[in-house]
Amino acid sequence: MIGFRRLYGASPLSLLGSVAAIAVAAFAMAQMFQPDVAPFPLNLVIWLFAGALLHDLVLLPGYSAADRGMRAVVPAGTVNFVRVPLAISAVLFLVWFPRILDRQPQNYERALDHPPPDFLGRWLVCCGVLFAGSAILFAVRRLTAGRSAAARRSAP
Amino acid sequence: MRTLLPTEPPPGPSRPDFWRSPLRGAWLTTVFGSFLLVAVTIVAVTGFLSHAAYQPSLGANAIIPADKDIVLLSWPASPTYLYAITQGLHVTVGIVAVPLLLAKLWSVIPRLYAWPPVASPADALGRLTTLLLVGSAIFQFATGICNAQLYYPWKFNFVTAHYYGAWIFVAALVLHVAVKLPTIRRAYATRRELDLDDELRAPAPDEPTISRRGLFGLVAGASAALFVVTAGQVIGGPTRKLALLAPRGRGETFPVNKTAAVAKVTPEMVGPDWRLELYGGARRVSLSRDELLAMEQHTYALPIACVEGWTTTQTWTGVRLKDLARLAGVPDADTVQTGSLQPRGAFRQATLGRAQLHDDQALLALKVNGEDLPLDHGYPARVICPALPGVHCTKWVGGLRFA
Repeated sequence: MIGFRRLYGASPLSLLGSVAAIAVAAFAMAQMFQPDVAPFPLNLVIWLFAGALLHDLVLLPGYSAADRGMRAVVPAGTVNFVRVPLAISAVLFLVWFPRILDRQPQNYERALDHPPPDFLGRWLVCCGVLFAGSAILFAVRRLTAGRSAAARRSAP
Repeated sequence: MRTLLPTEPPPGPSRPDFWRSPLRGAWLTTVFGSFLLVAVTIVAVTGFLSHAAYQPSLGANAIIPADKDIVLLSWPASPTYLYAITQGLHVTVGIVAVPLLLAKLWSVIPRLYAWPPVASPADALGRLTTLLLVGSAIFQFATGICNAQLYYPWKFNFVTAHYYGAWIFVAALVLHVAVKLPTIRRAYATRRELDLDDELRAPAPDEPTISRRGLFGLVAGASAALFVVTAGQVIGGPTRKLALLAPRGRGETFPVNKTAAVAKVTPEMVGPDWRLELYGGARRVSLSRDELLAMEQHTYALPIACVEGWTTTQTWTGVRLKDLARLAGVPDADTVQTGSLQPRGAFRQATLGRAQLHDDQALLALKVNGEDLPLDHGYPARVICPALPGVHCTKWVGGLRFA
């Protein structure tokens, strides 16, 4: 048992679990890679695995760098009042970008019988509401902070 | 393997002091992971329920080859809102979980660069199963979210790939949770303050620029924002106005899933010569629209729910499917296969089971909201059946085959 652990690096049960999960995945992939399901196998390979690479090597370093850049230009006390609406706007874009950027509008038009509405404008409205809400919150915080500081100063 | 690589990691992300966030740690990852686990469990269960709702064991309903498929339950015809709820949950919870997935992946990113990259055979399998988990998770989220927006930037069959993608995801997730169970237990037991072997915690953290509570607030805020601009397409009523970014949100009170023009159904095909043909009895029965209107009419307010995660409830009037079965001479039929005038397309036919066929509210609808059906909504006659996926409520029906 200890010998197995030293050779393999984990318990036999862990090996069994890994093999079982890989077997299920292999079966599922065998079904996905049928020619009538995926006539261009490379396209499915890219879709299955490139998402993880794209997230780990592009999206995450990208938003981390953007966050650092934002912190470099925004005054220290206001960072999160910019960061929160910015991040939420970005997530809304990430999820709904096909409609925001009007990708394949013909699919929308053929299904609903009218051209897609201005989703870009709607997203910008969402961004505006988020930033405006954050600005109001910032103003309120400053006002109340100023008042309590004044109250402290005037206290005996 | 250690002999091939230097024991010291090269400069960069493999060095523990590269990662500076004071927020990362086993406790944070466990909390994000727990919420994400609840969300993806709802999404997976409702996804498999949706698969069952298409009743793949009946007629020609199967999209996935039936011999390789497992369907655990026969789909009921009540409650009326069953499919609207399960599919609404599938799509809405999936979308709302995106910030949780991003936060979870952010919290564990240093593990990607762990040094040495592979220290043992167990590590190698761990890397492989993690790739399967993250790859299939992003695949499932991306394909599902694109499909709900009528955006198909791939070259494979979405239904089959999304279905088997779920198998990969569930298998990899079960393994992941099992492997991480001791860490999860320890993280909750230690109540935030962490043991020494917490490999996610930065050894030389920077000053925090956001509190841990602030980060939870940010993730919850992003999920809430997604909920607000999305959920109205299934909740309906005044909330639909708020669903700014959902394709069937604001402005779509009675959305069309597929227009007659796209289905290639022309006004000539549904003119006065149109007849509904009933098969399955000793002889074929042929009915004009006037003859159908002369039959006993029933009116119900029923939702029609799409796999894309939107629902609309309208008031439908028409004849009961079971009355038509009686008229065809097979009152005790087990199934009915619908046939549309639509010349092509996967859903120009569907087979409904016994629960659907014999339900009082399962109609061949001739009118909606007191008016004749519009052509885009299936004139001269369409199926409307409680708890059935929208695409199985066949439009422009030309024939019904009872068996």
